[in-house]
Amino acid sequence: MLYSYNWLQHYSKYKLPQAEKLEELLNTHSFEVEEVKKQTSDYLFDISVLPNRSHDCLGHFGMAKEIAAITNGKTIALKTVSSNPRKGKLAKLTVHIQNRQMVARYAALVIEGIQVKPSPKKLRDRLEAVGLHSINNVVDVTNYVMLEMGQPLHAFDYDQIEGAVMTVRESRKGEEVETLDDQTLSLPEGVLVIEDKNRLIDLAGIKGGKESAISQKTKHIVLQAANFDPITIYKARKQMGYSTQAAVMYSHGIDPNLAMISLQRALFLLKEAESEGKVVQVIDIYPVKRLAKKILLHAERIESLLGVWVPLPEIKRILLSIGCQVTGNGKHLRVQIPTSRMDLAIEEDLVEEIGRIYGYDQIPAVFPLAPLDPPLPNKEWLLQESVRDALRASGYTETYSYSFISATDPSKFLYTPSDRKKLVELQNPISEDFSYMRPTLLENLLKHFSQNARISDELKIFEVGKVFGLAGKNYAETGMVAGFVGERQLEQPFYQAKGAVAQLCEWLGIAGVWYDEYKHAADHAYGKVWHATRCAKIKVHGKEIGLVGEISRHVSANLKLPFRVAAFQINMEMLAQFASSEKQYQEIVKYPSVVRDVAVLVHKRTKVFELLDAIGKAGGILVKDISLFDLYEGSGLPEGKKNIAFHIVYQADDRTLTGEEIEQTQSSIIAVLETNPQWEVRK
Amino acid sequence: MPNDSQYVEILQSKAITEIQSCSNLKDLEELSHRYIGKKGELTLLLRSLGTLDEKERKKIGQKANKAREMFEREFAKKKQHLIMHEFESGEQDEWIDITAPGAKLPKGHLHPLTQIQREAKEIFQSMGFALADGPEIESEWYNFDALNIPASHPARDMWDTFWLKEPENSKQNLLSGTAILKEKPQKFLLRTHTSPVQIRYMEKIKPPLRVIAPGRIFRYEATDARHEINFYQLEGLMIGKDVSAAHFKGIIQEFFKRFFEKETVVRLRPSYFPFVEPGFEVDMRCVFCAGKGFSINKEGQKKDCSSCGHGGWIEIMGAGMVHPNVLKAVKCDPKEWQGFAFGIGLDRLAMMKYKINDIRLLYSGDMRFLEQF
Repeated sequence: MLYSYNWLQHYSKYKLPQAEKLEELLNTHSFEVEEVKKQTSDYLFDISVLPNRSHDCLGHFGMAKEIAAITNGKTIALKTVSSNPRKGKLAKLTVHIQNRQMVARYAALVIEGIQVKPSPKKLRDRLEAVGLHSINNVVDVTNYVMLEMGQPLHAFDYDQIEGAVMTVRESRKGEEVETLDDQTLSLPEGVLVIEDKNRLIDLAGIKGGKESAISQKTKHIVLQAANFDPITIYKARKQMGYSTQAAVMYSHGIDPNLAMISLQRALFLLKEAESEGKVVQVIDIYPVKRLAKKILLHAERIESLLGVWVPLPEIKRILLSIGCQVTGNGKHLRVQIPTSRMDLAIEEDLVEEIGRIYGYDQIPAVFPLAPLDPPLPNKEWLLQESVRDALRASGYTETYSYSFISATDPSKFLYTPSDRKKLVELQNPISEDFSYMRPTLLENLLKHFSQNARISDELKIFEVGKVFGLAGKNYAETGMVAGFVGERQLEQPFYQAKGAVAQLCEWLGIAGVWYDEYKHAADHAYGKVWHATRCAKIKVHGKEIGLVGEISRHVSANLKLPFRVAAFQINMEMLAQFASSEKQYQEIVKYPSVVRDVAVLVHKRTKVFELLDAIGKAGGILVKDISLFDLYEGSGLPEGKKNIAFHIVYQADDRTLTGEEIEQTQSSIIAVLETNPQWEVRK
Repeated sequence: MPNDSQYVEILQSKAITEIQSCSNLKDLEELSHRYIGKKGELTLLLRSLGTLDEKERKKIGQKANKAREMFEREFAKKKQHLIMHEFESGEQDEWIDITAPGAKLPKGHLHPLTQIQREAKEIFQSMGFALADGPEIESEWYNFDALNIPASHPARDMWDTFWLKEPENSKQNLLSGTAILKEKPQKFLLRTHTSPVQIRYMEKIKPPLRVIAPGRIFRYEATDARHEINFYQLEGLMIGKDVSAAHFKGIIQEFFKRFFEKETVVRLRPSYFPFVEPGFEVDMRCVFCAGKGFSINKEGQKKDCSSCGHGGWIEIMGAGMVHPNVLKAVKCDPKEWQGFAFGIGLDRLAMMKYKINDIRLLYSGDMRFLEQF
């Protein structure tokens, strides 16, 4: 809210600190000052009043009191005029409150014979200084009192209140009210409105109605200072997307004791503005009077929470400066809270007041004394970091993407209807681009990949993060790691991705990794992302932990990927299940190893695994390792055939193998391979 | 005369001269052959000594042996020299351009936020803080109610929230893996801060405790260079019998010192978060201009510090003493226990540390950005 320095000075019995000094004092003791603007003969302070202090500081007088508390100054007493009614000619106004829960207090004055005219210069200047336009003396006074006291006032044209009756009630859905700013608002259910005999005349606590507005012709007014329920007003603001300064003040809550004093203050200002008129009726419906609370405050509690000892006289001085009354001796104080400080409810609230006014800069920086109790390692975090290290070591670059996918992604990524049903949808997305929670890491990573592929010929990226879905009635949130690899001219990036998976598993100490052919099937959500014949399930001990595969041609085309891309996505919980940090040294074999090669011409759909299996079985214990070193199909080979070549490593733990032993085993391997008529061992 | 002692001397000096003037290993070997080979001149001379009388034989023999030794010494020296020379001159022909780039090795990068999180975790762990985690989809209860943030109160406007659409045909939703469903059917949302982890952690672990919880959070707001719809926060919580604001100051000041590797101090200003009382806004004295508010460039001109504007302080996080209602929400007696809580924006830290001027870069996936870390 904007505050005028001169206006604040008006309430202070002492010379306020210079604007710059005041800004600093407010910043360190009260509220953040967003900006101080120099005017011709004034300073305009834009102060962010904290939400818990809105009820007493969204007004110049309240702010002046706050400043007095932090600068050890005093404020003046406000001048008021008595509201005692005199005899008049007007018919008695009747006010009904339908639901007392929603109106803590309803105070109003009926003023007969008012003169509506331009405001005096002083009043106009004050309002204009904080950016309000002067309208007429009556409206200006209501605005002035609101900006002074933090209590919204409203003036009705008495003659426009049909039947001299006002009912404060909740709106019915679809009712309409025309407000002062010439808008016709269609109301939701449960908004507070004021109705006369025939129509709605006010959007209570938010905006006055046009029908009952003050005009040049107005002769008599009803001046209202009500205390409406903050929650009702807050909900109305949110539901209608419509708000005013008064509505903001109401939704923070206002001290009901402010209502009558504000009206009396308004009477004084109306008199100053030569508005004539006399009070002929006072309405004050205030069933449950708000009384001052008492809090027991222990001086040790202050020291214990703040870590600094505040001397007792200082404690008392501070409490008095914020309007409290203090009784009790020694270290236990009974503190009576002024009703205007609705935020002070518990001892800790008082500790805060004492701390901030005494000065948080008085609090030393001290290390706590705590048991030397080393925290348990968090295994999930450790695993996450290992995964990151492993992929980075394999040349992958980490990226962070949004947790959201767009409204068009489900079709771009070929989701099936059942995939769509599992999506977690936002109720209030910020835009179409962020409609659902990401069901996998693939969508956004692939978008990142595609962006970068325009300027790069070779890419390896990964992300570790949460993905979301509906599992029956539940929200499921799952940790995942996914990586993408691709290179211009690289025809089968699958093997790059598979290599990264193998290296990752090795890094994490996961043994027994197995790859099973993957088929698009109903059991797999978000499945059409993967290539129909170039995708595998990654399994450990029979359990699927993720998928590795090329991105399907259809999705690649949808994303305009410039080259073939392969990916893997692995469930972090599954990784955690199988990861092991145990390592054991294996004796290095002292005896030499011998390498023999074998090349086999096979049908092009023959799996490497079948050959590995056959060689392994035939070779027995002398074969230490079999590694693929060539996989070729193309010119020079018969149509539909490919050549697969392996290094076979022979070694024994306990002796140097003889040439004969090796030749014998090699021959028996070849013999076994040759029993398969589809396989031709090349010699 | 072969048996002349003078002849030995001549032979010796001739051989040495020839060795010294020899310019390659092949010629040197040739010399060796010529002088001390089977039929070498010195060899023959030594062999012919037998024909002389004893006196002569001794005299010339000594000389001849010395000549041979000398030859061998000089030969070895020359050989060493020629070998060295040959390698060196060979390398001269092997010149390469050392300004040409090194081999391109596969290299990965960790995201700057990963690196920031690691550094922060390490510092807090060294001060005895445990590490906790919580779900990104939260219930209204954990995100707001348990944290003393009342419904339909303007205080909630401090957290612009993404709400989740309720799944069809379901009246109640449970977070998978979380057992607790509070009394009423819950609305679900994307956590707006990491503070719900305070509640989740204290439900499981009894005080005294020290814990941090870094993680992704969400805010419903328009994005710009300083705002994102998802970003990272690090929550901290310490509960004990007498944990005070002074302790908070001690811990957090130490954290910033270590994190920025510079001396700094923190200052507390009043603030309001419903889950703490008192509540603080925490400023760090600018580590980039040492709190001066300006820097002086090469031309000697004063320039406003780009990190703190000109104030010398950087507003860095919210904190406070845990509100008794929060302790009550986890069945912890506020008369017995107290402590502090704080939440640091990790994106802010990364942006300050690496001088990143737009938060959106962190989620752009742009390799030209990522490869710088």
